[in-house]
Amino acid sequence: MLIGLQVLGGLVSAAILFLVAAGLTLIFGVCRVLNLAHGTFYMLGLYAAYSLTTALHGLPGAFWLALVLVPLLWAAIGAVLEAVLFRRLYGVDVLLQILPTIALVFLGQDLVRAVWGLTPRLVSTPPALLFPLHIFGVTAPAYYAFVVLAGIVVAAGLWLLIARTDWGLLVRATARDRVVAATLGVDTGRIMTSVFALSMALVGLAGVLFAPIGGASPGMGVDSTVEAFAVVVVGGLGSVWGSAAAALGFGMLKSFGILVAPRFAVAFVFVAMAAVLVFRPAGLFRAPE
Amino acid sequence: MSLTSAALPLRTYRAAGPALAVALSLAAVGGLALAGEQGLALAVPTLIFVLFAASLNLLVGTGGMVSMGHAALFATGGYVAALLAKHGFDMASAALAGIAAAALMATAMAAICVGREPTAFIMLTLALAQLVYIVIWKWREVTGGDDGLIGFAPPEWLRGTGAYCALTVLAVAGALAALLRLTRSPFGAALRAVRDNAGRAAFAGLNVKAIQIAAFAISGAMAGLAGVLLAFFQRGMFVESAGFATSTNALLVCVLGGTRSFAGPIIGALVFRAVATLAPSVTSYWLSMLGVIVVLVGLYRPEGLAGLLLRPAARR
Repeated sequence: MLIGLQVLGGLVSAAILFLVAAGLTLIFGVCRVLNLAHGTFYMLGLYAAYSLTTALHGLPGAFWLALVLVPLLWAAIGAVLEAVLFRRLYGVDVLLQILPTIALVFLGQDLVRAVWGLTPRLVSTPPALLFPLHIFGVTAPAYYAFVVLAGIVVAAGLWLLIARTDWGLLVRATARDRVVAATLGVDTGRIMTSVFALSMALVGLAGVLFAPIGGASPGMGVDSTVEAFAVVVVGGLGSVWGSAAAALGFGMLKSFGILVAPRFAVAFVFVAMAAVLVFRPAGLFRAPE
Repeated sequence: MSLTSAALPLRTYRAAGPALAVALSLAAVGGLALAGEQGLALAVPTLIFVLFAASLNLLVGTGGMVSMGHAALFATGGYVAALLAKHGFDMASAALAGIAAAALMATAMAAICVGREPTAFIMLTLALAQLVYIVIWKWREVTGGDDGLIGFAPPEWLRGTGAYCALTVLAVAGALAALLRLTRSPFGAALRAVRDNAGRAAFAGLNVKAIQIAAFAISGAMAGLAGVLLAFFQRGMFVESAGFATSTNALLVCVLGGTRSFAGPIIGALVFRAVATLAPSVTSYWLSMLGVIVVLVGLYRPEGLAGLLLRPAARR
């Protein structure tokens, strides 16, 4: 009974963690940039979902519209940000690389303060998924199952995209060696722009999906960035599948950690991270160099 | 990588930099002292922030290790001292224990983070600092959680703002002098060698990892001292001291002032504190604006404010 509920809760955390971390690790793997503002865009995705659904108050499809519109909008913002800002940071000293992303974190926090204020904002669960679902021998909100399903579908889609399409081949080539890829005629600039757009779409999607579960609050941007860092480092920098596995592990750790020590469930993630790195310095899914 | 190191001026302004930093700090404290008790109450946190930023720059500027977890060391020092003081220990032994705990925490952090690629290093320092933050925030029985840890005070003779400010001036000046000596000692040279080319430094016979961990421990002790000074000044420690903003503010200040000179973070910290004190009455979005300014400084003036101020002096 209880275990079934914890498993489902863990899967929900894992799905969200994966969507955030996958974008982060993609940007790092292909563009070699560490984006400290990644979680900020997750937070802004939640607020955008809130504003869209409240603006369309009464419309039954408001949530679904947000689920489509926010990722599309985030992809567009990502493409513009890459072209205007991040492109200038490739190959630059790491301190100068993270500074603009820290500035983006501040800007995001101030934007939230100015537009939405400090009170947490909740998004109501879409009416179509408001029924209880009997799964794993427990009764749980159907929306939880939907989030888990969405995570799995996106992960599978991501795999198809990276492993089975021409675009994916070019992405892998750019990630492996940008200069050689460019010499062989790959338009690496466009590849990096599209990877950035995809990553932003993923993080926007994560924001909308989580909005009915946890709601939006001002401090969550930094928190989710740091949690995604733990996922990415444990999974192995640049490895999407490592991130998926680490997200699953951390999701379960958080969910079952609540049973052991409710207050320290999140801390377990970072303790596990440190423990993994002591024994496998390159992360779980990347061969040590 | 090469882009910035080529753009940074590598000549050191051996005397001009520290002299300028001392002059500006004295001017700031003196100016605030003229404003009386209230001014001194502003001078103390300013000096503490100066020391905190300078201790971070031992890692960032001299060591080339961009740590985003410095707040954890600051908070460890402050909280350990506060806890001991609350349980009846005198200020001196509480302070020493706080400094030692911060150095120990720094060593542990370094043991996990040092020797990785710069990006992983940043992510790890930030994640470990978050762990410290969560523990302080959630372990209410010991740390007081988000209510803060209160219920202790410095000894009678230090309770006046003037006396405490004098103590802070002495402690910060002493720590900065030690830091300056250290950066100009053979150890400092070794640390710079490791920063510029770890492979070559190792080949020359330097124990790269030991040097980096030692730098972390020393930097942690200094950050811990800053935390201790703040704890007894506020007569309390609060969870924000371990937060993301504490680390990033210090990092911004290092870049603003210039990471490659000793005076850089000191000047940067003074400017930051001046802005943080004056700007909120003009706009509540000052931190974002300052962030953008620091980005521009970092990209176009990597030598920072210290470089801008000192360049004419060096030419003469």
